[in-house]
Amino acid sequence: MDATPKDSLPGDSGLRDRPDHVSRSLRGEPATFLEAVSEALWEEMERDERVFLMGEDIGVYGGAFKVTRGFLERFGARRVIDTPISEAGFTGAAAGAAHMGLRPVVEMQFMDFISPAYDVITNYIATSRYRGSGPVPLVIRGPVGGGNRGGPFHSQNVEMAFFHTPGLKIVYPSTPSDAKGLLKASIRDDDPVIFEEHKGLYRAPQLREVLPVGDHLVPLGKARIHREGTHLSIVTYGLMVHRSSEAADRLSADDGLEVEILDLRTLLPLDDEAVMATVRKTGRLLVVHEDTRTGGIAGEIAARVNEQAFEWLDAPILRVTAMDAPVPYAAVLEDAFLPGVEDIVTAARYLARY
Amino acid sequence: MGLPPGPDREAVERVLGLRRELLPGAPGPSPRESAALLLALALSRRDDGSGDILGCEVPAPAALLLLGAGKEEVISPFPERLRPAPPARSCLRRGFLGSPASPGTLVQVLAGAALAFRLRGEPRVGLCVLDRSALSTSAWHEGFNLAAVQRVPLVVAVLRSPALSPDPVRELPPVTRMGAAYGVRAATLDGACPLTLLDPARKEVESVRRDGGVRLLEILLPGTGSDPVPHRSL
Repeated sequence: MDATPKDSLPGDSGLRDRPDHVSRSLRGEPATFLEAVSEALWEEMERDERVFLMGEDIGVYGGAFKVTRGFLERFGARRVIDTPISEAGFTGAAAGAAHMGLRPVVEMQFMDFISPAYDVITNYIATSRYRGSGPVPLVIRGPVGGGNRGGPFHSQNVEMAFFHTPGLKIVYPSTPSDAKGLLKASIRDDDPVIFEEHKGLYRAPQLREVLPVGDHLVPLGKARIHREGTHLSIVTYGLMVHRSSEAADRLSADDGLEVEILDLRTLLPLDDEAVMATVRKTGRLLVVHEDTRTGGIAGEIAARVNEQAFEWLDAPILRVTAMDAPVPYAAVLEDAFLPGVEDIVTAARYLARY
Repeated sequence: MGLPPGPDREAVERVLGLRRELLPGAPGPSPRESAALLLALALSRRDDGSGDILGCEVPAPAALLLLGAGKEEVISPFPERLRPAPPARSCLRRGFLGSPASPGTLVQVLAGAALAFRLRGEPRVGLCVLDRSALSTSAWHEGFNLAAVQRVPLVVAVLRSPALSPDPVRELPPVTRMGAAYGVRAATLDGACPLTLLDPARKEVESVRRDGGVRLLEILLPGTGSDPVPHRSL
């Protein structure tokens, strides 16, 4: 196994070896969010032989959502490892492999299943540097989020279960381009990264985009202005970036309000500078997340704005979130549980009038 | 000292001398620490990150000193009365992993380290030393099961000491039976005289290095001074 990463990716000759779904950028074709994730994994495995995958059904079956379809055939069973159903076991093993210089990428079939690995992630992996035991460069990635009628065990957003654990990074992209660039950056990062992929983004046709050619990296910890505006700011991430964008279209057309949307991209570390910049620009802040309300990231953002930009506020900080409940199975209940465009529009109008 | 003259005996004598310097006034190695030292002696030891890896969940400063640990790695930050404790920090270059908070987790981590050895084709072995009580955890099961399924080069040594375990260990099945359940070769060794552990431990380590796969060793230890089973101290 070559311990030295390659400086560059394969050129056009790489096309011959790559299935279509992991070569969209090379072909100049638009890619889905899911294809962008697959392409990031493929490229990093080609670039660096230390990168390998572990997870349930990721090999022969290609993953529950087919993110790793074709990987077993290309990279072999040594680097695409089907594991027993044991999230704690293979996450702990990934830590051991990372100690030995490898770069494991662990797939949680659904991120809801990360909870059995909570102990090893928070007590062992996250504390490693602080115990003088060195970095643990690994990525734990998987699908999150509701809207697919998956009920309480296949729909959760897990970011806040780990947000208050020093030593971890949490990434939650909203676009195919960011998904690819952030995942590649996460794999190369020396710290453990929890990487959340919203299922509602995976195959959304309207989000297809032509990915940047070459070694596309997006730095961790840097938010992005998704939409410029002057009347109020929405700070959000993941699928809610697009819900907020729909709301902003309506607010612009119906109310003449120009909403600025800040896509956090990385939740830990949080890009305070970008949050404060948009608050200072508009004076009004709405935080939107799909995660449940109590203990959600909106509370932390509100506290930081209070500490760092209170004088710029012209209205109270509001939040639009899921309700404090398990994710319901019933469609009508799940729709009521999740934050929707109408909720965002209503909150934004209140803020604008305040 | 019951070891024949040679490098093993010299290593143990050097470690016991270091231990006396670092822990002045401390009692001699306990049965658990003595067993861990003799098991660690079976490993290939290097100081350039290319040797075998020890993970030890029981307090065993002598085993860490054997691998070249320094004072800061051996002495626990806990109060004097609790010393020595399992090490929290690791030194991968010298070949040992710090102990996690939860019993059994180290089996998971060692399974991954050994997986890395296998993936890279390196002739290295992981050794995990646990107390019997760790086998009550789900962490142990998931780590050991994964190691067994992947046939990684790993030796797991379980120290069974009736007086020290919070579990009613006399009621628990011998680990040799558990090994069979995982498809892993298992053996029980009498640790009343720790010196007798070296040869069988070395045999298992070299067997794993040569053929891969997991081995499970149960080390029967005496308990405290009131235990009727005699213990020959180092």
